[in-house]
Amino acid sequence: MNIENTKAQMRKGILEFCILSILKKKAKYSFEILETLKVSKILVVEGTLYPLLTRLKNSELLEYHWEESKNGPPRKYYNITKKGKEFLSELNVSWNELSNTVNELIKNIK
Amino acid sequence: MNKAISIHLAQIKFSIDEKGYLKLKLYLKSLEQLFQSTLGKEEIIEDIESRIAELFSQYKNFDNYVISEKQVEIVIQTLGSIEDLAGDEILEENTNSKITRKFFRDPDDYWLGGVAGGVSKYFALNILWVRLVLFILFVFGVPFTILTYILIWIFVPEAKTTADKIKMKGEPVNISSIKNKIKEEYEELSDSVKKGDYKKTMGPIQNASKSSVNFFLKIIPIALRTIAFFFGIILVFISFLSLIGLIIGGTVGGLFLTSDIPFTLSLFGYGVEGLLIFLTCVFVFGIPFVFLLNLALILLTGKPKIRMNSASVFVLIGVWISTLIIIILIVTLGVINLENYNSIIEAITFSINKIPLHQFKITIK
Repeated sequence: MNIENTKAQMRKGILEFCILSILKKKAKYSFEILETLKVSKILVVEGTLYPLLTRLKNSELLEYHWEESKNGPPRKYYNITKKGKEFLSELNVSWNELSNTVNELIKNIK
Repeated sequence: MNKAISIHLAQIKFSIDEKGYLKLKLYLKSLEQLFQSTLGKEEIIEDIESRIAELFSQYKNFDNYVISEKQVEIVIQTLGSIEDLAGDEILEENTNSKITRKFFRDPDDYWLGGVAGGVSKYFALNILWVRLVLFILFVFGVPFTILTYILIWIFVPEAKTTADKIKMKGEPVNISSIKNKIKEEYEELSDSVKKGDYKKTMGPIQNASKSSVNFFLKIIPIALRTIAFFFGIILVFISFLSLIGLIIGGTVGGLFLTSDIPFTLSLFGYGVEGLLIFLTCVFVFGIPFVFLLNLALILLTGKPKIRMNSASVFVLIGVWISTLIIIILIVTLGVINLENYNSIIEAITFSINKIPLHQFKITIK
Protein backbone atom coordinates (compact mmCIF):
# COMPACT_ATOMS: atom_id res chain seq x y z
CA MET A 1 0.00 0.00 0.00
CA ASN A 2 1.27 3.40 -0.96
CA ILE A 3 -0.01 6.38 1.01
CA GLU A 4 0.37 8.75 -1.94
CA ASN A 5 -1.67 6.40 -4.04
CA THR A 6 -4.46 6.20 -1.50
CA LYS A 7 -4.49 9.96 -1.09
CA ALA A 8 -4.60 10.43 -4.85
CA GLN A 9 -7.50 8.01 -5.18
CA MET A 10 -9.39 9.73 -2.40
CA ARG A 11 -8.78 13.16 -3.85
CA LYS A 12 -9.76 12.06 -7.28
CA GLY A 13 -13.14 10.73 -6.27
CA ILE A 14 -13.85 13.85 -4.28
CA LEU A 15 -12.54 16.11 -7.04
CA GLU A 16 -15.24 15.04 -9.45
CA PHE A 17 -17.81 15.84 -6.84
CA CYS A 18 -16.21 19.26 -6.25
CA ILE A 19 -16.07 20.11 -9.94
CA LEU A 20 -19.74 19.33 -10.37
CA SER A 21 -20.53 21.43 -7.30
CA ILE A 22 -18.51 24.38 -8.58
CA LEU A 23 -20.36 24.28 -11.88
CA LYS A 24 -23.77 23.87 -10.28
CA LYS A 25 -24.82 27.49 -10.60
CA LYS A 26 -22.80 28.95 -13.41
CA ALA A 27 -20.70 27.93 -16.41
CA LYS A 28 -17.03 28.42 -15.82
CA TYR A 29 -13.89 27.93 -17.80
CA SER A 30 -11.12 25.68 -16.65
CA PHE A 31 -9.02 28.36 -15.00
CA GLU A 32 -11.91 29.59 -12.85
CA ILE A 33 -12.56 26.03 -11.73
CA LEU A 34 -8.88 25.73 -11.00
CA GLU A 35 -8.78 28.84 -8.86
CA THR A 36 -11.62 27.67 -6.66
CA LEU A 37 -10.02 24.28 -6.23
CA LYS A 38 -6.61 25.77 -5.52
CA VAL A 39 -7.97 27.99 -2.79
CA SER A 40 -9.41 24.96 -1.07
CA LYS A 41 -6.07 23.13 -1.55
CA ILE A 42 -7.81 20.11 -2.95
CA LEU A 43 -6.01 20.38 -6.25
CA VAL A 44 -2.25 20.27 -6.16
CA VAL A 45 -1.39 20.74 -9.81
CA GLU A 46 -3.45 22.06 -12.70
CA GLY A 47 -2.75 19.17 -15.01
CA THR A 48 -4.96 16.87 -12.96
CA LEU A 49 -8.05 18.84 -13.86
CA TYR A 50 -8.06 18.30 -17.62
CA PRO A 51 -8.43 14.52 -17.66
CA LEU A 52 -11.23 14.87 -15.12
CA LEU A 53 -13.11 17.46 -17.14
CA THR A 54 -12.78 15.35 -20.26
CA ARG A 55 -14.05 12.32 -18.43
CA LEU A 56 -17.01 14.12 -16.94
CA LYS A 57 -17.81 15.51 -20.36
CA ASN A 58 -17.56 12.07 -21.95
CA SER A 59 -19.92 10.73 -19.31
CA GLU A 60 -22.33 13.52 -20.33
CA LEU A 61 -22.31 15.08 -16.90
CA LEU A 62 -20.75 18.23 -18.30
CA GLU A 63 -20.88 20.04 -21.62
CA TYR A 64 -18.92 22.97 -22.91
CA HIS A 65 -19.01 25.84 -25.36
CA TRP A 66 -16.21 27.98 -26.71
CA GLU A 67 -15.77 31.65 -25.88
CA GLU A 68 -13.24 34.03 -27.36
CA SER A 69 -10.66 35.50 -25.05
CA LYS A 70 -8.88 38.85 -25.43
CA ASN A 71 -5.53 37.54 -24.32
CA GLY A 72 -4.83 34.00 -25.33
CA PRO A 73 -6.61 31.15 -27.02
CA PRO A 74 -10.40 30.68 -26.93
CA ARG A 75 -11.68 29.17 -23.72
CA LYS A 76 -13.85 26.17 -23.04
CA TYR A 77 -16.71 27.08 -20.74
CA TYR A 78 -18.09 24.09 -18.95
CA ASN A 79 -21.56 23.81 -17.56
CA ILE A 80 -23.40 21.02 -15.89
CA THR A 81 -25.98 18.96 -17.77
CA LYS A 82 -29.29 17.69 -16.50
CA LYS A 83 -27.75 14.29 -16.03
CA GLY A 84 -24.91 15.96 -14.18
CA LYS A 85 -27.28 17.67 -11.79
CA GLU A 86 -29.00 14.39 -10.96
CA PHE A 87 -25.61 12.82 -10.49
CA LEU A 88 -24.54 15.67 -8.23
CA SER A 89 -27.57 15.48 -5.98
CA GLU A 90 -26.98 11.76 -5.54
CA LEU A 91 -23.35 12.44 -4.75
CA ASN A 92 -24.43 15.06 -2.24
CA VAL A 93 -26.55 12.56 -0.38
CA SER A 94 -23.87 9.92 -0.29
CA TRP A 95 -21.23 12.49 0.62
CA ASN A 96 -23.22 13.56 3.67
CA GLU A 97 -23.80 9.98 4.69
CA LEU A 98 -20.21 9.06 4.13
CA SER A 99 -18.67 12.01 5.92
CA ASN A 100 -20.98 11.49 8.88
CA THR A 101 -20.23 7.81 9.08
CA VAL A 102 -16.51 8.23 8.70
CA ASN A 103 -16.34 11.04 11.26
CA GLU A 104 -18.41 9.01 13.69
CA LEU A 105 -16.22 6.03 13.15
CA ILE A 106 -13.00 7.95 13.73
CA LYS A 107 -14.44 9.64 16.82
CA ASN A 108 -15.61 6.36 18.34
CA ILE A 109 -12.32 4.60 17.82
CA LYS A 110 -10.47 7.43 19.55
CA MET B 1 24.02 32.14 -27.78
CA ASN B 2 20.71 30.41 -27.80
CA LYS B 3 18.50 29.82 -30.77
CA ALA B 4 14.84 30.74 -30.58
CA ILE B 5 12.37 28.26 -31.99
CA SER B 6 8.91 29.17 -33.23
CA ILE B 7 6.02 26.93 -32.34
CA HIS B 8 2.27 27.01 -32.55
CA LEU B 9 0.28 26.16 -29.48
CA ALA B 10 -3.49 26.27 -29.72
CA GLN B 11 -3.07 28.20 -32.98
CA ILE B 12 -1.00 30.93 -31.36
CA LYS B 13 2.56 31.50 -32.43
CA PHE B 14 5.26 31.64 -29.77
CA SER B 15 9.03 31.93 -29.89
CA ILE B 16 10.79 29.85 -27.31
CA ASP B 17 14.38 29.61 -26.31
CA GLU B 18 15.91 26.36 -27.56
CA LYS B 19 16.43 24.73 -24.19
CA GLY B 20 12.97 25.73 -23.10
CA TYR B 21 11.60 24.25 -26.30
CA LEU B 22 13.29 20.93 -25.58
CA LYS B 23 11.81 20.85 -22.11
CA LEU B 24 8.36 21.67 -23.37
CA LYS B 25 8.58 19.07 -26.08
CA LEU B 26 9.71 16.44 -23.64
CA TYR B 27 6.89 17.39 -21.31
CA LEU B 28 4.22 17.11 -24.00
CA LYS B 29 5.66 13.84 -25.20
CA SER B 30 5.58 12.40 -21.72
CA LEU B 31 2.01 13.59 -21.27
CA GLU B 32 1.04 11.76 -24.39
CA GLN B 33 2.58 8.62 -22.96
CA LEU B 34 0.87 9.14 -19.66
CA PHE B 35 -2.59 9.53 -21.12
CA GLN B 36 -2.11 7.04 -23.87
CA SER B 37 -4.67 4.57 -22.66
CA THR B 38 -7.01 7.18 -21.22
CA LEU B 39 -10.24 7.82 -23.01
CA GLY B 40 -10.22 11.22 -24.73
CA LYS B 41 -6.45 11.48 -24.77
CA GLU B 42 -6.34 13.97 -27.67
CA GLU B 43 -8.77 16.27 -25.98
CA ILE B 44 -6.87 16.23 -22.70
CA ILE B 45 -3.62 17.05 -24.46
CA GLU B 46 -5.33 19.81 -26.44
CA ASP B 47 -6.74 21.30 -23.25
CA ILE B 48 -3.35 21.24 -21.63
CA GLU B 49 -1.69 22.77 -24.68
CA SER B 50 -4.29 25.46 -24.73
CA ARG B 51 -3.65 26.17 -21.06
CA ILE B 52 0.08 26.36 -21.74
CA ALA B 53 -0.66 28.81 -24.56
CA GLU B 54 -2.71 30.87 -22.17
CA LEU B 55 0.09 30.97 -19.62
CA PHE B 56 2.61 31.82 -22.32
CA SER B 57 0.38 34.64 -23.54
CA GLN B 58 0.71 36.27 -20.15
CA TYR B 59 4.48 36.43 -20.60
CA LYS B 60 4.32 37.59 -24.16
CA ASN B 61 4.45 41.37 -23.89
CA PHE B 62 5.37 42.08 -27.49
CA ASP B 63 5.21 40.22 -30.76
CA ASN B 64 8.67 38.75 -30.94
CA TYR B 65 9.01 38.00 -27.26
CA VAL B 66 11.11 34.89 -26.68
CA ILE B 67 9.85 32.73 -23.85
CA SER B 68 12.74 31.70 -21.66
CA GLU B 69 13.65 28.29 -20.33
CA LYS B 70 12.81 29.50 -16.84
CA GLN B 71 9.32 30.49 -17.91
CA VAL B 72 8.76 27.12 -19.51
CA GLU B 73 9.79 25.53 -16.24
CA ILE B 74 7.35 27.65 -14.28
CA VAL B 75 4.52 26.73 -16.63
CA ILE B 76 5.34 23.05 -16.32
CA GLN B 77 5.39 23.39 -12.56
CA THR B 78 2.00 25.06 -12.59
CA LEU B 79 0.50 22.30 -14.65
CA GLY B 80 2.26 19.64 -12.65
CA SER B 81 5.34 17.61 -13.36
CA ILE B 82 4.96 14.20 -14.94
CA GLU B 83 5.60 12.61 -11.56
CA ASP B 84 2.80 14.60 -9.97
CA LEU B 85 0.38 13.82 -12.74
CA ALA B 86 1.36 10.16 -12.85
CA GLY B 87 0.61 10.04 -9.15
CA ASP B 88 -2.84 11.44 -9.70
CA GLU B 89 -3.66 9.83 -12.94
CA ILE B 90 -5.77 6.75 -12.71
CA LEU B 91 -5.89 5.24 -16.12
CA GLU B 92 -8.98 3.54 -17.36
CA GLU B 93 -8.70 0.26 -15.52
CA ASN B 94 -6.74 -2.06 -17.70
CA THR B 95 -7.04 -5.19 -15.64
CA ASN B 96 -5.41 -7.32 -18.25
CA SER B 97 -3.22 -8.85 -15.62
CA LYS B 98 -2.37 -12.00 -17.52
CA ILE B 99 1.33 -11.90 -18.11
CA THR B 100 2.17 -12.54 -21.72
CA ARG B 101 5.31 -11.38 -23.36
CA LYS B 102 5.27 -9.94 -26.81
CA PHE B 103 8.24 -9.88 -29.08
CA PHE B 104 9.29 -6.33 -29.87
CA ARG B 105 12.54 -4.72 -30.85
CA ASP B 106 13.85 -2.76 -27.91
CA PRO B 107 14.43 0.90 -28.82
CA ASP B 108 16.10 1.63 -25.48
CA ASP B 109 18.79 -0.99 -25.65
CA TYR B 110 20.24 -1.29 -29.09
CA TRP B 111 23.46 -1.44 -31.06
CA LEU B 112 21.80 -1.83 -34.42
CA GLY B 113 18.13 -2.57 -34.57
CA GLY B 114 17.37 -3.58 -31.01
CA VAL B 115 16.90 -7.22 -32.00
CA ALA B 116 19.18 -8.60 -29.30
CA GLY B 117 17.48 -6.34 -26.78
CA GLY B 118 14.08 -7.62 -27.84
CA VAL B 119 15.18 -11.24 -27.70
CA SER B 120 16.66 -10.75 -24.25
CA LYS B 121 13.46 -9.15 -22.95
CA TYR B 122 11.32 -11.81 -24.55
CA PHE B 123 13.21 -14.69 -23.00
CA ALA B 124 14.11 -12.74 -19.85
CA LEU B 125 17.79 -13.30 -20.53
CA ASN B 126 20.69 -11.03 -19.89
CA ILE B 127 21.38 -9.11 -23.07
CA LEU B 128 25.07 -9.99 -22.88
CA TRP B 129 24.29 -13.67 -23.37
CA VAL B 130 22.08 -12.91 -26.32
CA ARG B 131 24.78 -10.80 -27.93
CA LEU B 132 27.34 -13.52 -27.24
CA VAL B 133 25.19 -16.16 -28.91
CA LEU B 134 24.54 -13.76 -31.77
CA PHE B 135 28.25 -13.22 -32.13
CA ILE B 136 28.96 -16.96 -32.15
CA LEU B 137 26.26 -17.45 -34.77
CA PHE B 138 27.76 -14.63 -36.73
CA VAL B 139 31.18 -16.26 -36.67
CA PHE B 140 29.79 -19.60 -37.86
CA GLY B 141 27.39 -18.42 -40.49
CA VAL B 142 27.96 -14.87 -41.63
CA PRO B 143 25.42 -14.47 -44.46
CA PHE B 144 22.71 -16.42 -42.72
CA THR B 145 22.99 -14.52 -39.45
CA ILE B 146 23.06 -11.14 -41.14
CA LEU B 147 20.05 -11.98 -43.27
CA THR B 148 18.11 -13.27 -40.30
CA TYR B 149 18.98 -10.22 -38.27
CA ILE B 150 17.85 -7.87 -41.01
CA LEU B 151 14.63 -9.77 -41.50
CA ILE B 152 13.79 -9.59 -37.81
CA TRP B 153 14.69 -5.93 -37.89
CA ILE B 154 12.20 -5.36 -40.66
CA PHE B 155 9.33 -7.49 -39.48
CA VAL B 156 9.33 -7.24 -35.75
CA PRO B 157 7.86 -3.94 -34.67
CA GLU B 158 9.69 -1.65 -32.33
CA ALA B 159 8.23 -1.20 -28.87
CA LYS B 160 7.06 2.36 -29.35
CA THR B 161 4.58 3.01 -26.61
CA THR B 162 4.99 2.56 -22.92
CA ALA B 163 2.42 -0.22 -22.97
CA ASP B 164 4.48 -2.01 -25.64
CA LYS B 165 7.58 -1.76 -23.52
CA ILE B 166 5.79 -3.21 -20.56
CA LYS B 167 4.35 -6.03 -22.65
CA MET B 168 7.83 -6.68 -24.00
CA LYS B 169 9.02 -7.41 -20.50
CA GLY B 170 5.92 -9.42 -19.74
CA GLU B 171 4.85 -7.25 -16.84
CA PRO B 172 1.14 -6.70 -16.42
CA VAL B 173 -0.03 -3.50 -18.06
CA ASN B 174 -1.62 -1.56 -15.24
CA ILE B 175 -1.46 1.82 -13.61
CA SER B 176 1.57 1.30 -11.49
CA SER B 177 3.70 -0.41 -14.11
CA ILE B 178 2.91 2.31 -16.66
CA LYS B 179 3.58 4.96 -14.04
CA ASN B 180 6.93 3.49 -13.13
CA LYS B 181 7.96 3.12 -16.73
CA ILE B 182 7.02 6.70 -17.55
CA LYS B 183 8.92 7.97 -14.53
CA GLU B 184 11.97 5.99 -15.60
CA GLU B 185 11.87 7.35 -19.12
CA TYR B 186 11.19 10.85 -17.98
CA GLU B 187 14.12 10.82 -15.61
CA GLU B 188 16.38 9.44 -18.31
CA LEU B 189 15.30 12.12 -20.76
CA SER B 190 15.48 14.96 -18.31
CA ASP B 191 19.00 13.86 -17.42
CA SER B 192 19.97 14.14 -21.04
CA VAL B 193 18.34 17.58 -21.24
CA LYS B 194 20.32 18.69 -18.21
CA LYS B 195 23.52 17.48 -19.76
CA GLY B 196 22.66 19.33 -22.93
CA ASP B 197 22.52 16.10 -24.87
CA TYR B 198 20.11 17.33 -27.49
CA LYS B 199 20.56 14.41 -29.77
CA LYS B 200 18.71 12.18 -27.36
CA THR B 201 15.80 14.53 -26.86
CA MET B 202 15.37 15.81 -30.38
CA GLY B 203 13.29 13.15 -32.05
CA PRO B 204 13.96 13.92 -35.73
CA ILE B 205 17.69 14.45 -35.39
CA GLN B 206 18.04 11.31 -33.37
CA ASN B 207 20.62 9.04 -34.86
CA ALA B 208 20.98 9.92 -38.47
CA SER B 209 21.98 6.36 -39.24
CA LYS B 210 18.86 4.96 -37.65
CA SER B 211 16.57 7.26 -39.58
CA SER B 212 18.33 6.64 -42.85
CA VAL B 213 17.79 2.96 -42.28
CA ASN B 214 14.16 3.69 -41.56
CA PHE B 215 13.96 5.62 -44.78
CA PHE B 216 15.53 2.74 -46.62
CA LEU B 217 13.03 0.41 -45.01
CA LYS B 218 10.16 2.58 -46.11
CA ILE B 219 11.06 2.53 -49.80
CA ILE B 220 11.17 -1.19 -50.39
CA PRO B 221 9.13 -2.80 -47.68
CA ILE B 222 6.74 -4.55 -50.02
CA ALA B 223 9.45 -6.23 -52.06
CA LEU B 224 11.28 -7.25 -48.92
CA ARG B 225 8.12 -8.52 -47.35
CA THR B 226 7.49 -10.74 -50.33
CA ILE B 227 11.04 -11.99 -50.30
CA ALA B 228 10.84 -12.67 -46.61
CA PHE B 229 7.59 -14.49 -47.03
CA PHE B 230 9.11 -16.87 -49.57
CA PHE B 231 12.23 -17.09 -47.50
CA GLY B 232 10.06 -17.98 -44.54
CA ILE B 233 8.25 -20.70 -46.49
CA ILE B 234 11.52 -22.13 -47.71
CA LEU B 235 12.92 -22.01 -44.20
CA VAL B 236 9.90 -23.83 -42.84
CA PHE B 237 10.36 -26.54 -45.44
CA ILE B 238 14.09 -26.81 -44.92
CA SER B 239 13.96 -26.90 -41.17
CA PHE B 240 10.93 -29.15 -41.00
CA LEU B 241 12.26 -31.66 -43.50
CA SER B 242 15.70 -31.54 -41.94
CA LEU B 243 14.26 -32.27 -38.54
CA ILE B 244 12.29 -35.23 -39.84
CA GLY B 245 15.27 -36.40 -41.85
CA LEU B 246 17.54 -36.12 -38.87
CA ILE B 247 15.21 -38.04 -36.61
CA ILE B 248 14.63 -40.86 -39.11
CA GLY B 249 18.22 -40.84 -40.32
CA GLY B 250 19.55 -40.73 -36.82
CA THR B 251 17.47 -43.65 -35.67
CA VAL B 252 18.08 -45.79 -38.72
CA GLY B 253 21.74 -44.82 -38.92
CA GLY B 254 22.30 -45.32 -35.24
CA LEU B 255 20.75 -48.77 -35.34
CA PHE B 256 21.89 -50.24 -38.61
CA LEU B 257 24.66 -48.32 -40.27
CA THR B 258 27.18 -48.16 -37.49
CA SER B 259 29.69 -50.35 -39.26
CA ASP B 260 30.33 -47.57 -41.79
CA ILE B 261 32.24 -45.53 -39.25
CA PRO B 262 35.87 -45.82 -40.24
CA PHE B 263 37.33 -45.79 -36.75
CA THR B 264 36.66 -46.98 -33.27
CA LEU B 265 37.54 -45.54 -29.92
CA SER B 266 37.61 -48.94 -28.31
CA LEU B 267 35.56 -47.43 -25.52
CA PHE B 268 32.11 -48.89 -25.72
CA GLY B 269 32.34 -51.17 -28.66
CA TYR B 270 31.31 -50.56 -32.22
CA GLY B 271 27.52 -50.38 -31.96
CA VAL B 272 27.31 -48.08 -28.95
CA GLU B 273 29.80 -45.64 -30.41
CA GLY B 274 27.94 -45.45 -33.67
CA LEU B 275 24.70 -44.80 -31.86
CA LEU B 276 26.35 -42.08 -29.79
CA ILE B 277 27.78 -40.40 -32.85
CA PHE B 278 24.47 -40.43 -34.69
CA LEU B 279 22.55 -39.18 -31.68
CA THR B 280 24.94 -36.30 -31.10
CA CYS B 281 24.70 -35.48 -34.79
CA VAL B 282 20.93 -35.35 -34.46
CA PHE B 283 21.22 -32.87 -31.60
CA VAL B 284 24.00 -30.79 -33.08
CA PHE B 285 22.15 -30.28 -36.33
CA GLY B 286 18.64 -30.61 -35.00
CA ILE B 287 18.59 -27.92 -32.33
CA PRO B 288 19.54 -25.07 -34.66
CA PHE B 289 16.80 -26.28 -36.97
CA VAL B 290 14.25 -26.02 -34.15
CA PHE B 291 15.23 -22.39 -33.70
CA LEU B 292 15.25 -21.94 -37.44
CA LEU B 293 11.76 -23.37 -37.73
CA ASN B 294 10.52 -21.04 -35.04
CA LEU B 295 12.19 -18.11 -36.75
CA ALA B 296 10.62 -19.08 -40.05
CA LEU B 297 7.22 -19.15 -38.39
CA ILE B 298 7.89 -15.74 -36.87
CA LEU B 299 8.73 -14.48 -40.33
CA LEU B 300 5.53 -15.87 -41.75
CA THR B 301 3.07 -15.03 -39.01
CA GLY B 302 4.79 -12.38 -36.93
CA LYS B 303 4.40 -14.50 -33.83
CA PRO B 304 6.57 -17.27 -32.46
CA LYS B 305 4.66 -20.53 -32.78
CA ILE B 306 6.95 -22.63 -30.66
CA ARG B 307 6.69 -20.98 -27.29
CA MET B 308 9.92 -21.23 -25.43
CA ASN B 309 10.68 -19.87 -22.02
CA SER B 310 14.17 -19.00 -20.92
CA ALA B 311 14.68 -22.33 -19.18
CA SER B 312 13.97 -24.40 -22.27
CA VAL B 313 16.15 -22.12 -24.38
CA PHE B 314 18.97 -22.56 -21.93
CA VAL B 315 18.51 -26.32 -21.88
CA LEU B 316 18.46 -26.49 -25.67
CA ILE B 317 21.55 -24.33 -26.00
CA GLY B 318 23.25 -26.33 -23.25
CA VAL B 319 22.46 -29.63 -24.94
CA TRP B 320 23.62 -28.22 -28.24
CA ILE B 321 26.95 -27.04 -26.88
CA SER B 322 27.60 -30.26 -24.99
CA THR B 323 26.75 -32.45 -27.96
CA LEU B 324 28.96 -30.26 -30.09
CA ILE B 325 31.80 -30.80 -27.64
CA ILE B 326 31.12 -34.55 -27.58
CA ILE B 327 31.18 -34.82 -31.34
CA ILE B 328 34.38 -32.80 -31.57
CA LEU B 329 35.95 -35.06 -28.94
CA ILE B 330 34.83 -38.21 -30.71
CA VAL B 331 36.12 -37.03 -34.04
CA THR B 332 39.49 -35.89 -32.67
CA LEU B 333 39.91 -39.12 -30.73
CA GLY B 334 38.88 -41.03 -33.83
CA VAL B 335 41.38 -39.17 -35.97
CA ILE B 336 44.14 -39.81 -33.46
CA ASN B 337 43.24 -43.48 -33.44
CA LEU B 338 43.21 -43.48 -37.20
CA GLU B 339 46.67 -41.94 -37.27
CA ASN B 340 47.99 -44.55 -34.86
CA TYR B 341 46.43 -47.20 -37.01
CA ASN B 342 48.06 -45.73 -40.12
CA SER B 343 51.44 -45.55 -38.46
CA ILE B 344 51.22 -49.16 -37.40
CA ILE B 345 50.42 -50.16 -40.96
CA GLU B 346 53.30 -48.02 -42.20
CA ALA B 347 55.64 -49.66 -39.73
CA ILE B 348 54.54 -53.07 -40.84
CA THR B 349 54.92 -52.18 -44.51
CA PHE B 350 58.31 -50.71 -43.80
CA SER B 351 59.55 -53.80 -42.03
CA ILE B 352 58.07 -56.00 -44.71
CA ASN B 353 60.02 -54.09 -47.37
CA LYS B 354 63.25 -54.56 -45.48
CA ILE B 355 63.04 -58.30 -45.45
CA PRO B 356 64.79 -59.79 -48.49
CA LEU B 357 62.28 -61.24 -50.83
CA HIS B 358 63.65 -64.76 -50.78
CA GLN B 359 63.22 -65.00 -47.05
CA PHE B 360 59.65 -63.77 -47.25
CA LYS B 361 57.23 -66.61 -47.22
CA ILE B 362 53.58 -66.38 -47.39
CA THR B 363 51.68 -69.30 -46.20
CA ILE B 364 48.28 -69.64 -47.59
CA LYS B 365 46.07 -72.01 -45.85
